[in-house]
Amino acid sequence: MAETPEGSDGLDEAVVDRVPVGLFAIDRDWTIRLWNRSLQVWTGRGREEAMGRDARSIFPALAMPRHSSRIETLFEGGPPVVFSYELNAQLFVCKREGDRERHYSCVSSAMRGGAVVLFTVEDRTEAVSSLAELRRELVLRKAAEASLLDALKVKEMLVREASHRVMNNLTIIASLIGLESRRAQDDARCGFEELEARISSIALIHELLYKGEIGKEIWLDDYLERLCRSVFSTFLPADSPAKLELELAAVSLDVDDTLYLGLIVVELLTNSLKYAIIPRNGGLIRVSLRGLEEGWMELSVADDGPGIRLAADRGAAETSGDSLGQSLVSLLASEIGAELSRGNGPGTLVALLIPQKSK
Amino acid sequence: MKDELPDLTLLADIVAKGLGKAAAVLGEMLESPVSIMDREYCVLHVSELPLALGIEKGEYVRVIEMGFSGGFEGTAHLVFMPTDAERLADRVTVGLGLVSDDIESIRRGTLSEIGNIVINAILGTMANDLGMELTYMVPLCLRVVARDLVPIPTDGKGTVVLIRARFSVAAIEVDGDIIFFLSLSSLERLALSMQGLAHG
Repeated sequence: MAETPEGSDGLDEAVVDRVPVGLFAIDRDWTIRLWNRSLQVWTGRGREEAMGRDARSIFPALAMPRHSSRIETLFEGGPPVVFSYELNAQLFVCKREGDRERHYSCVSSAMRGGAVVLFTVEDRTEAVSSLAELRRELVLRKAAEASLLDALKVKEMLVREASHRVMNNLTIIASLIGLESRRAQDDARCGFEELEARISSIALIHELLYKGEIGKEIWLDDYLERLCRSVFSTFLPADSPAKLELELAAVSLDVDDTLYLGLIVVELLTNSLKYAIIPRNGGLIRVSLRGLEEGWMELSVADDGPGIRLAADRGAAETSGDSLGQSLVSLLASEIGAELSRGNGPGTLVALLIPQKSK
Repeated sequence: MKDELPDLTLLADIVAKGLGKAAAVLGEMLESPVSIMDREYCVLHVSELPLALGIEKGEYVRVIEMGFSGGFEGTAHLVFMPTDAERLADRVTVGLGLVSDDIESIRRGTLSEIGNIVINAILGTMANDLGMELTYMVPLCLRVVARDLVPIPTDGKGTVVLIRARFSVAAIEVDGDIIFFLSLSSLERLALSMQGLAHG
């Protein structure tokens, strides 16, 4: 079996030649006793040329007092000494022909109680370049993110502005209709008031979009409370003894479906006001909204009046108008994929089972 | 539990000498005077360390760390808040004409060497004056959450010896901490060694 060549420090040269880091060792008189293959590549000097020479003749900067004084401490068994490329760029200059400047990190350590000092010279060029590249990319991405956020803010501002204008226009239209209704006769006035309430329900959505968080959904508890009170104030005087009970869970629905749902609630409330409240100059309407199992909610509008059948018996003219309202409710309910059901008195109860992801 | 170590005044003297040497070396590099203050020597349970070191919060720090074993064993740390570390590195590299688009690498390499010089000044003085041979780990430059500095004790009771001092470079508004954790078993060996010094 062939003998394994060893340096004078006893390290197996076959092993150190496989280490991907430049290694060399010196003794107390700075004579090189170990020189591995990675260092040959780094310096362009072969082992035969380096071994036995003074390390300061190959790396002249080592002779500078600020470096040599630190290395001397290692011969006393002192702690490892770090030489960074940043502060010592000329210490271990790479001599590979045509090569660009290479970054390194060097740690020198005492061995055998300071009889030998081992230097490890690690090529950090690729790692530094990769990190620099990553940091550049990070800076670019942050800039892109900031730009997107700015664009989003502009978009939000435009949406708010558009919603504000739409709300203002619808409010003006509703006000004009309200003015007209005050001049109209009873039957026509009721029609105007219904129209005003429908338009107000849409204006209210735009108000919420304008004032609230820009998103695809509307919180129904807030919206329905304001809508119901608005319809009440449209049809009833401020001192009316009629009561409105609201039990609204905090659930949300997308903007389009909320628009249809608002119109449905206006129709149902209008019917209850016309047949259960106004004729009796009082009474109770209860509006309830609750979340069901995942993806569904239930809305109900109930009153303590005579109920649909009895109300219908009161006159063909009224029922024909209301059948239009009922048809509208059915049509709007189908638009949002809701299931419509009616209760069996006393009073009127209409319930809607609404999917939250109807589209 | 925070036991003072009145019988280790000689240790305090030796550490103070090392700190003085470290301050001188660092001051020379920075061309500014370095003050050492708030020296502390005590035995603590590791659970008390975060409060004692003021590192309960999860803030990041820059650390140059080196482990050692032999006559006494433990770890040495030079700890900076990131902004102080940046100011320190920038001060040392100013005028060197370093050209790189990666300032972070420059700071990291510079801090590694500064920390190494400071820690070596203290540890070298301690080992020499106590006449103890130590084996050292390769120094590391890390960015870690401060509470991760707390060491894993080796004495089974969860106690460590804490040696700490604060240093300040007023001219560049840089503050930092020099922190040593020694294993409790090191204390006995240190005490014996120091007795020998006192009588010899």
